[in-house]
Amino acid sequence: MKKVFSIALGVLTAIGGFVDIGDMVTNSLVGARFGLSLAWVVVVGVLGICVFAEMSGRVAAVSGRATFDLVRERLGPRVGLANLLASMAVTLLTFVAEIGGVALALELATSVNYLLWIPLVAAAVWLVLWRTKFSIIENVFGLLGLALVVFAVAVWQLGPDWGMLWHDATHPTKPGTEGLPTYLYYAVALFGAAMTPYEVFFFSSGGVEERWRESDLTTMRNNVFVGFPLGGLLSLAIAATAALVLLPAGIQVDTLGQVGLPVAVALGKLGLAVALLGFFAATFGAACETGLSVGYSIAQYFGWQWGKYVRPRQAARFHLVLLLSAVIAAAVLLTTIDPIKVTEYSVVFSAVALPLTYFPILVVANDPDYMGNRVNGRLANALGTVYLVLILIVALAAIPLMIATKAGM
Amino acid sequence: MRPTWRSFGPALLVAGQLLAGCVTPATGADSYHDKASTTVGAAASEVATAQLTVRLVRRDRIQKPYADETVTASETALGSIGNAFGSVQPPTGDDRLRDEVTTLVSDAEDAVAHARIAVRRGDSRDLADAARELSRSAHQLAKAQQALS
Repeated sequence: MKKVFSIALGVLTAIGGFVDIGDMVTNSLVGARFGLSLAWVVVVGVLGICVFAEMSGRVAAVSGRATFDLVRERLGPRVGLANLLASMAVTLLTFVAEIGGVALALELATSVNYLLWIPLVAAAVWLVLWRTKFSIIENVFGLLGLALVVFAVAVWQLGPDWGMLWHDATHPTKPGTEGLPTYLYYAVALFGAAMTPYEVFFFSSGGVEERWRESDLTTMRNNVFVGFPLGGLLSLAIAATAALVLLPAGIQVDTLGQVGLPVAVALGKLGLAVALLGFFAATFGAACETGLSVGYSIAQYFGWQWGKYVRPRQAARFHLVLLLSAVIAAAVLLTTIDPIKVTEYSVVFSAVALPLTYFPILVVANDPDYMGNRVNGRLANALGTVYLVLILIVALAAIPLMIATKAGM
Repeated sequence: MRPTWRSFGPALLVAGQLLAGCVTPATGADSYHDKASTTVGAAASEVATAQLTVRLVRRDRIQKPYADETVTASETALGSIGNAFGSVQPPTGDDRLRDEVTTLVSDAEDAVAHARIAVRRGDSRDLADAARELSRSAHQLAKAQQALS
């Protein structure tokens, strides 16, 4: 019974914790502009994150060390440093976006300007990271993030032509009013949002925090192969609500408030209140995850003691990084930079950094010195290699597409 | 000579503008027409957001702070859209287009500002007036969009 509960809890938190500000904004923006014609990118992205999260989770369970703890040791300091700089820059940008997202959710709930919320949110995130147990952070915000299921309920309540929705999702065609570069730019953004590098940092380091062993592999795989795809369905539900309500109204999404409007149309005040709770939980949970990921990556590279499974005093430098990250995020946002713009750029730059994040995972997961007989099988290697090629193409195309389309305009 | 960060300054500025989609000078009539079309489209989106929000307020399907923030964001966005287009140097012969588009965006901003006032007051007559004004603005923007496409 305890095992079943553990699996169910893991799956539910994986679903609720899957969606963050990048997923919410990008899926709504794309749904309002392209309908469901880019839904295939979400499916491809979710399968990709499943492939690499399983590998990094397996590395954590078998070796007892986080994947990026092993990168410098296995690939040398230069590759390790390149990996650290690229992925940490993107993760820090994502952390800024998530804190901005929490502040925007609070602004929508209270009418108090989001800039006034920024210092409080940054302080609250840091306090939670400092004082709260890892399992509580993961479970509480993961479960509260399930409030975003309200978007799936809203799709059903809007009474769409299901056949048409299915047709749009399964027959991807570029709308006539949009250019091919713009279509591809948003495909890259969706892919980056689904495969954000911090997700594997967090997943692999979280496995060490929770002291996974080989006996936990089944639970881990359930989280990945059931929880993540269901989380991906939430992303698609957000896109579908935008396609059903915002697209016909000619609304282009550039604020978090617009993302929730279809829920209000479908379910009224109660539904919107649940959506707001989902916005808050998803962004606050992701802020904790990205903040921890910044600390994990720096501490693991320099070989410092890290993690929440030891007292803060024993991992002082790790906690100092968390504090500095929160201060930097607040400072960046207080320049009045638009958090939604930060989000849009963070998902595209995520796509650029993908090869540096995912290549080392594939290498370590194939090393018998660390993995023993749990090295990648043929299927994992085939999928990993195909995705690595895809990731490389996406990373090379991201910046030229951004320039050619003036960031999707 | 060793390159310094100063020598990359202009290149970085241009790259930054391109990336941020900031307003750049119109290089010809076509470019200016494209900018006008994009401006009208963006303004129409903000007016449509305000229209939907006012409709939800009138049906009591949205919380007041949420509606207030959504309409306020649209009003702010319209201000930026108008400023961005207004600061572009029009090519010779396109002054009339400039005037038409800036007037349309300014009217849209007024309509959304009235909607924001009505949402904050919560008065049903003000909301009905705001809905009518938004509808007019949306209609004019749609006509302009059609003419520019």
